[in-house]
Formats: sequence, C-alpha cells, structure tokens
Amino acid sequence: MIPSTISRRRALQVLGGATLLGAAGQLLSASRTRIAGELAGPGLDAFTAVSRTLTGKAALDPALSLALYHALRADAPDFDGQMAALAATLAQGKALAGDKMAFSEAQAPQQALSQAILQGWYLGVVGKGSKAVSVAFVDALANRAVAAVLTPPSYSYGPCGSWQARP
Amino acid sequence: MLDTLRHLFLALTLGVVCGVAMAAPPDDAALVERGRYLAVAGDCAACHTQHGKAPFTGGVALASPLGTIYSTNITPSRSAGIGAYSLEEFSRAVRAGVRRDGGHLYPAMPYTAYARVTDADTAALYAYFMHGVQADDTVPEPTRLPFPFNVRASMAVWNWMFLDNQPFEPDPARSAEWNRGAYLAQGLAHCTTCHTPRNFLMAEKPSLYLAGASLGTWYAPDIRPGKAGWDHGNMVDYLRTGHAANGATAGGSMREAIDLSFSKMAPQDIAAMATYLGEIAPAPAAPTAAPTAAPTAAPVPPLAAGDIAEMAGTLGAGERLYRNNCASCHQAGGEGARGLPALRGHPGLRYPTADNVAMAVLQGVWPQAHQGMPGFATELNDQEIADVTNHVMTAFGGSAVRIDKGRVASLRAGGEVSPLLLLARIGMVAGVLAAIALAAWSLRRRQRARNPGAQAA
Amino acid sequence: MNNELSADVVVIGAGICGALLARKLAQAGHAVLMLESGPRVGRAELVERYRHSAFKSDFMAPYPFSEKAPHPVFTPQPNNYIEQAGPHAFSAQYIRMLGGTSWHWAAQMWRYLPSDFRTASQYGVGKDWPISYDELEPYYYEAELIAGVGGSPDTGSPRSQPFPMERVPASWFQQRITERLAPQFQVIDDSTARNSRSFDNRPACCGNNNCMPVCPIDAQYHGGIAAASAEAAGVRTITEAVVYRLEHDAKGAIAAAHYYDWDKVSHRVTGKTFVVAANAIESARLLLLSASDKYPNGLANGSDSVGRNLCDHPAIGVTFDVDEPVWPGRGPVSPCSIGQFRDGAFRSEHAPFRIDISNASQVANVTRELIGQGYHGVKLEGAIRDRAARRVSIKNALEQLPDRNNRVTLGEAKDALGLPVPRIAWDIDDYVIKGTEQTRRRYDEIAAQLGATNVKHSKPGKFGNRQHITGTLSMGHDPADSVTDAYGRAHDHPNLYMAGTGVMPTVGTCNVTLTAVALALRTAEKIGSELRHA
Repeated sequence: MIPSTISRRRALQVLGGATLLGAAGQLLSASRTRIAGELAGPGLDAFTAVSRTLTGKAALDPALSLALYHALRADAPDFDGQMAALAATLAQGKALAGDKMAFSEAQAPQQALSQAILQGWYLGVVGKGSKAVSVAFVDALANRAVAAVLTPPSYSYGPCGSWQARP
Repeated sequence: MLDTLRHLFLALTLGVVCGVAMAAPPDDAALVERGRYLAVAGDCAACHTQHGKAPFTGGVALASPLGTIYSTNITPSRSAGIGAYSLEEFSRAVRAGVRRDGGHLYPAMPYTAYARVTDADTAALYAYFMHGVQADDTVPEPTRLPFPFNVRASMAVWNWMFLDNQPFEPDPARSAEWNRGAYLAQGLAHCTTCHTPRNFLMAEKPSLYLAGASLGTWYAPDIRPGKAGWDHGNMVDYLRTGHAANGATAGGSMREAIDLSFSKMAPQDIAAMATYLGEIAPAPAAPTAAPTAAPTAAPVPPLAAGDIAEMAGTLGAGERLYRNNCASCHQAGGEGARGLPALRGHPGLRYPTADNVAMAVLQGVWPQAHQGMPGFATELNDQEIADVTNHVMTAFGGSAVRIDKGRVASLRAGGEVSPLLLLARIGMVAGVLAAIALAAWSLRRRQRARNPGAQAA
Repeated sequence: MNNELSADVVVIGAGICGALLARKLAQAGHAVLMLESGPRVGRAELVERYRHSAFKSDFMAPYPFSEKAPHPVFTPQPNNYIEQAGPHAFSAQYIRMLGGTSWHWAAQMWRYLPSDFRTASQYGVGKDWPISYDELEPYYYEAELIAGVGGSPDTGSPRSQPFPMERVPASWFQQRITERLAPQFQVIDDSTARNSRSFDNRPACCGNNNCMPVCPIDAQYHGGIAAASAEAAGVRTITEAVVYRLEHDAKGAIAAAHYYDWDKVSHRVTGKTFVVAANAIESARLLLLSASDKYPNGLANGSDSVGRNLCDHPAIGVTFDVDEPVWPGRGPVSPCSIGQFRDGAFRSEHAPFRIDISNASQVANVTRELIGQGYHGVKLEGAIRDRAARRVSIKNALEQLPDRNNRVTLGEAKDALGLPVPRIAWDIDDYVIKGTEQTRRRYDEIAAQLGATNVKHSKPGKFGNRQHITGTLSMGHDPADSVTDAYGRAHDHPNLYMAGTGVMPTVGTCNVTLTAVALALRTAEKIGSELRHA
C-alpha cells in the first residue's frame, strides 16, 4: 500500500527522472537541462535555505532537497508562501535559539511545518495518514547519521556474526 | 625422511621390475600421510567423493559436452574399486589415462596434467589410496556416453595426438619456490584443465596456456601474469580463502576447489603456486594480442544516489531487480558490507563474458564454511536474470559485455550441447556411405572388367 | 458450479501449519490439494513494498491487501475488517497470502514447558491438554529439523536431541545487556529458526535487522518457504481460492469444500479428508459460515466451543535509555529473552510471562520522538545518535487463561464476497492484570540495573497483541467442551481435521508456532494412517 495522490506520484516521477539523470548521466544533456529548469527556481531555493537552518547543515543533498520540495509542495498548494513566512520567522532568531523549538502559540502551524520538514529530511517521509509518501530511505538523514554503526533495516550489516564486535 | 623415501622407491621399483605387485608397507604412516596431502592437492575428492557419501566411492556426475561422465570408486575395494591395482597400474591410470584392464579413461580425469607427477609422489598417492582410505564396495553409476564416444579405444588416438606425457622437469634458471609452484600447478593442481582453452577435439591449446576458457557454464578466467589487481599477496589470499583484497570472490568449481583443496594446502605450497603464476614465461607461439582479453573497460560509474529514484519508481528493470533481490547484501550502490562482497569494481566484471555473474545469480555461491549467497533460479526467469546481470556488468563493472536471455536459458540447462556428437555421427554416416559407394564402384569396375561389353545399368 | 476438483486430502489455508501438514502427506504418497484464499507474492516484491512504505513500523504494510481475501489493515487508516465487541480491542494481525502470517515474524520457535500442558492439575488454573509434552516431543524435533532451529538449551523444555542449528552469534548489544543483568536476570538466546550457516539452500543471517516485517534473504524460516517446499513435494496449490463453505453429507461427513475464485465464480472440491488450517480466526469463521439445517451452530460445533476460548499473549512494554551506548540494530530483531518467570508455584495466583528484549533498530523511533519534542539542528542529529545507541525496548508475553466469553463469531458487515466478517469479543482477566504488576516490578529492576533514564512504561490498562492466537478450535478429551480430539480431528466429523494455533487449548508461556507445527505434523501422521487403513 503506497498511498499517494496522482499529482504527488507524477511529481516524484519527474524528479526521480531528474535524479536518475544526475546519478547515471544517461540521458542527453538537453533533456537534463530541460527538467532541471522545470524544477529550479526561487521556491526550491527558499526551501533549501529553510532546510539548512532547520537541520543546521550547510550542505544538503540537492537530489533529496528536490524530492522533498516537490512532495511537500504537492501536499500543500501554498507551500512557497508558507516557506516565505517561515523564513521570515526563523530570521527573527527566537524560534531556534534553544535546543528545542520555541515558536509562539500563534506560530503553532509554523512549528508543525518545521517539524514536517525535519521529518522529511530525517525520516524521508512527507505527509501524514493516507497522504504520507516515502521519498527516501537510505538517504534519510537519520540513517546517514548512524551509518558508521548501523545499516538501515532490510540492508545487511555483514556476514553472520559480524555484529559480535563492539561497534 | 628422504632416505626412507629413496629406499622405499628403490624397493618399489625393484618390485615392479621383478613383476611383483607390491603395496607400500602398511605401517609407513608418513608415506600415507604424504599421499593424503597430495590427494588434497590433486583434489581427487572433488570428482571421486559424492556429497554425503563415503569418501572416494565415485558416482559423481560430471557434465561434459558429450554427456554425463560418472567418476569411479577409487577406494581399495577389490570388487568395486582399485584394490587389485599394483603401483604400476595405478601410475598408468593416473598419469597415462589407462585402466588396469587396458581401457582408456576420458580426459575428464585430468591424467594429462597428472602426467607431470613424479614417481615418488605417485608412490605416496598409491600408499594413501591403498592404506589411508577405507575400502567400500559401493558400485557407482557406470558412464554411458552416446556412440561413438563410448568407444574408449578412440581415446588412444586422441592421446597419440595430444597427450604430452613428459614428466615435470624443473627449470634450473628459476628459484626452488617457482619450480615447486610450477610442479604443483602444472600437475596435481591441474589449473590448465579448466583455465586453458581447448580446440575442436577438446584438447588444450598450448599456445593459450591459462588464457581462460568456458567450462560450458562457469568461465575459468585468464590467469596469466600481468592482470591488474593480481599481485602475489592477492593470489595467495584468493587460493587460501576465495577472497582477496582486490574484491575477487570465487564461485562455482573454483569455490569448490578452494574448499576441498587449496584452503587445505600448506601456505608455502600456495605461495609457490602464486609465484609460478606470476612469472610464467610466454609460450613460444603466443599471439601478441591475447584473444581472450576483456574489452577496454570504461571507468566504473560513480556511486549512484541512494534510493530517491527508487522511491519514485523510475528505475530500469535491471536496477529494480538488483535493488529488490541483491541490494540487501551487496548494498544499494554495490559497495558490499564488512566482508559481504562488493560488486563495484569486482574483477569478475572485467571478464569477456557475463556468464559467471549469471551463474552466481542462478546457483548462488556456497562456500563450505562462511557466508553463502542464495541462487535465484526458481525466483527469476531468464529475462530477469539477463536484466539484472547486465545491470551489474554496466553499473558496477563499467563493462560493455552483455548476456541475453537465450544464453541464460542455456546456462540454466547446463550449457550448450557440443556439436561434436552430431558432427561425429554425421561424419560416421558420411564415412559409411562413402564406404558403400566405394564398394559399389569397385564392384562395378570388376564387373566391367569381366564383361567389357556390358552397359552400365 | 465449475470444474470438479478432487484430492485425497484437501487443505484449506497455506500457512506454515497447513503447508507442512500437506507436505508430509504428499511425501507419504497421498494426493493433496491446498487451497489458499490469498495471492502468491514473491519476496522481492515484499522487500520493495517495505522500503517504499511510509509506515515502516506497521508490519502489515508490505503485505498487499486483497479485497477478496481481506485481512486487518492498520495504516494509513484502519480498515476495521474485524468487528470489535470489546471490552478490549483484539488487534489481530494476520496475512492472507500463500505462506500465511509467519512471513512477517521473528522466527521464534519455542517449545512449551511440560507444565504448560497441565496447568489445571498442577496449578488449578486454565486447562489440561489431552496430550503431554512427552507425546509431542518427537514432533517438536521433527519441526525443528525442518525449520533449522537453534538457541539456548536452558529453556526448561527437555530435549531428546540437541538443536539442529547452531545459534546465531550474539551482538554486542546482547552481550552487554546479558552481562549487566546477571546474575539476577538470566538472559538467554531465543529458540529461533534462523540460519547461522547455509542450510536448506538459504544463506546465514546477515543482520538485515528486518525479520519483522520481512527477511530479504530468507535466512529465517517462514510459511512461504513451507509452502514452496510443499509444492516441491507434489502438493497441488490453488491460490486466490476463498473457501466459503464446507459441505457435509447426511451422516455428517464432509463431502466437499466450496470456494470462490476472485471473479466470484464458485468451485466445488471433493476429497476424502479435509483439513482446516486457515488461522485461528478465519478457521472458526469458516466453520460458522458452514452452518446448515443439520448443524445450525456451524460445523464441528456440538460443544458450542468453535470460536470460543480465544486467547493471545497480552503484552505490556517499557522503553528506557541505558547509561552506555549499546547500539541495538545489529543482527536479528529478536535474539534474546528472559524466561525465568515462565513457571513456578505463582502460576496459581498470577499470569506467568516471558520477557523479550528487542534488538530492532531504534533509529526511526528516537528520530520521531526527538522531532516531536522540538529538537532541531545539530543537536537533533547528535541526540539521534545518542538515543539510538542507548534506547532499549522490552515487551512481554503474559499467559491469558481460556474464557468462553472471549470468542470469534460472525459479524454484521459483509466483505467483498458477501461473507460476514469476523467479530471478536475479548477481555483481560485479573490473572493477567496481576501478572502485569509483577512484570512492571521486573521492568523497573531491569532498568535500574542498566542505569536507565527516561523510563517509559506502556499505558496502564492497555495491552498489545502478540498475535499468538489460540483456543478457537480447542482440542480436548471431552466432546462436550472441545472442538477436536488430541489429533486435531473434529469430534463431530470424522474426516475433518484442524491444524494451526486454534487447536491449542491454552496459550502457554511462549510463542505458539512451533507447538502448532508439531501438532500439525502429528495430525498429518494420523490422517495418513487413517487413509491407509480406510
């Protein structure tokens, strides 16, 4: 059961194709340019910038950024607008000053959005309930964070018994 | 030790000369042990011991392009094995391919290589098989090749054409270690039996010694010196374990040879063989471009992005099969994990054939100890196996070599049928027809000679 | 009605019990036909569905839902296939597919303790079985040989032969926990059907840490492997065949099984012997659906016990953070447990329990938790590593006593084939509640011994289901209060047998599959000898 709306699936296919291009370099560079052009823009840049702030990472995987942006945008039509507002709030400096987010009560939707973005980056999942979609798994930041010690479930750790040694 | 052997050898020779079939004294444990080690080096068990059955009782089915050859019982049983053999007869069987009853052995028994084994080592092997192996009266399945290959006398002609039964001569210009390695590799370890391509009549081509050959399904690669990534250390590790730092992993018959033979040999013998393989002098008529060299490989593509494309459902058929069937152990990018083999840059992907990848996918790889790989013959069809094999060759090997589903089907069935059988039969029919025609012509000539005026009917 | 099919033995349900029973009979030369309501799905597809799922902690998510052979679904929305009469929801999870529910287990294959077979006479609670541990012992071993079972011998279950499989080596996590909990708590290796070497053309475990919901390499035994081996032994299998009625003759012998294919075309299958092996809930449902004029309460139900005495192992859990990095997530998911509370005089007073220590990766859990708590930035990532390394998750399995009021009946709603869905009434007794009080004490002791912080018990009054579903087809000596005899043969119908966990009269102190498989192998032997002497 991989529930998703048609537009979400299409969005993922488009960017999936772009990712494939990027990774394998198989298609003509003309097509590559066209698809990248379709996706690039200030909306993506704003999302990436907000993501950097929320994750605290200067460098984020551009393919994952692309994939998450499209999934989030398909989930909420005014996503670009929400990004702009969130960026402004974050620029004020209070929300992320501490270890835990400190949004005001009025800003609760922005906190939820921030957490949804972090869920996307760290767990590779966007959306809730029947609209939830897995955008990445191995690439999700939580799996990358522990990659020195663990492989993600359904990928082997090593030959039988290799887990005896202290990590 | 050497003195004892020399005396023993002298006694044996005298015994033979006097026409006395003489077995080694049963209490010479050292000779029997040496014979046991040499039997491991020669990997007699691989062909003569069926999995789960008593040792050396034969009955192992060896698929040959001419049909199935079953190995014989070589325990000292007098009724079913070689218990009645004298040392001379044992030597003739092992080194010349002739049975005690005078019948010829098929070169599935690598007597062409064992011809190199010294008299002393033959005596030790004899001692082992007579006194170190339990006699067992099990009669194995007999070999019945289709006509005309069941006529063993034809092997006499084949041997006359192709058998080089010169015993091993050490090369004084080489080190003792090289000579030891050469002796083992050319003789008991019989590398050439698999790794040297064969001609139309299935004899090895000396000018292509160790240049690589298909065994019908698995491909035994070119093991001549100068291959990238194959230094002495890697060769030693590979022979001892089936793995090496260059990413090589053994499968198929080589995996079995490592399990049963190489992994149990003395480290200095393995090192010697690696030394020999690293310094083989070029054969006299070697062509300048080795015909079995792999096409120049493109560099291996960089590690693909993890699984974003996978989640989006945009993977090609081969890659999708790879992800769902192979990636759990070999990982999404083919990099392996903590000893689970990497496919990325695997030496096997540089071969001129994709057969070994497809065979590993079909049958799996099952070392006697340690981690195994399952086969997918019942789960994937021929097209799927071709697709995933081609994906592996491209994405992880940068190779242009491909396999099609027809070849996969053939591998699944045990390899192509040799044209030799059909051609031999056609040849025989043609020969019979020619004989009939000749007889008819000759008869007519005589008739005309008797009746000069008669017209041809 | 379409094409008449026939076999000596007709097995309904191709899960691990049905398949191994079918296989044993086929190996003995009988013609066996196995009918499976669900589809045939390959492992590669399941692995893909798992990786693509947005709900990876729902073990049912990779398994396709089939409208015509429905099973309970939980994410993204519950499908409420089973009507819940309460008071406690019985959140059954089972898979209707070739191979059945054990596709998504952790291969725990425990033997019952000898006293599990006689709690009534020994402790004055529950029921006595109509057979003893000793009678079942040879079949336990037969099942262990098939599945390749290994584990610690210190289980309290006597063995005539050693385990056929060497145990999977313990991870650092297991070693550390074991060391630190000794001597008060003895942590032992679970009895599992998990390869530590190549066996049965399947490789050794490589630590995919994904046993539940699916092992990508079949290093663990499961019903899919059993079904494949049954087919290889000559069992004819028809999938997408939903048996909806068993037909009987005037004397009460079962004459035929009627099934719908997925185009809702009905087929009639005749046979000499019929075996219902469709899991404890669906088997009871089928017997009730087969009600007729002669048997208005359903087949095999002269005792009014079909569907009753439903038991599971109610479970409570605890999570906490140990004071050192132990890194769960390397190796198999359920490698070890504490068994010292399974037996003793206290069983007269409160439920015994087994404590399972999970080795599943906690990365996703702690990440969700931390994001929910508002962590962000660099601290978030550091906290993920820190908590994933120290988070321990423990749950138990409490023995519930059989109660006739806990039962499966037919519900009001109908499924896509027009068949009434199952309805379950389930409650938790004081015996279990007292057992949970004991459990919580032990959990706190364990946490203290590991220097734990952030200790979180599961909500009081709430119980998880372990999916060890027993009782609905209970075996017994007395036809007045049991459905089958000691061989799983229906008291009321001499050519109808039952296999699966449903025939087990008590749920015992451990996972139930090995016992159910042993019983099924014994039933197969009985069927075989009956057919030979017929």
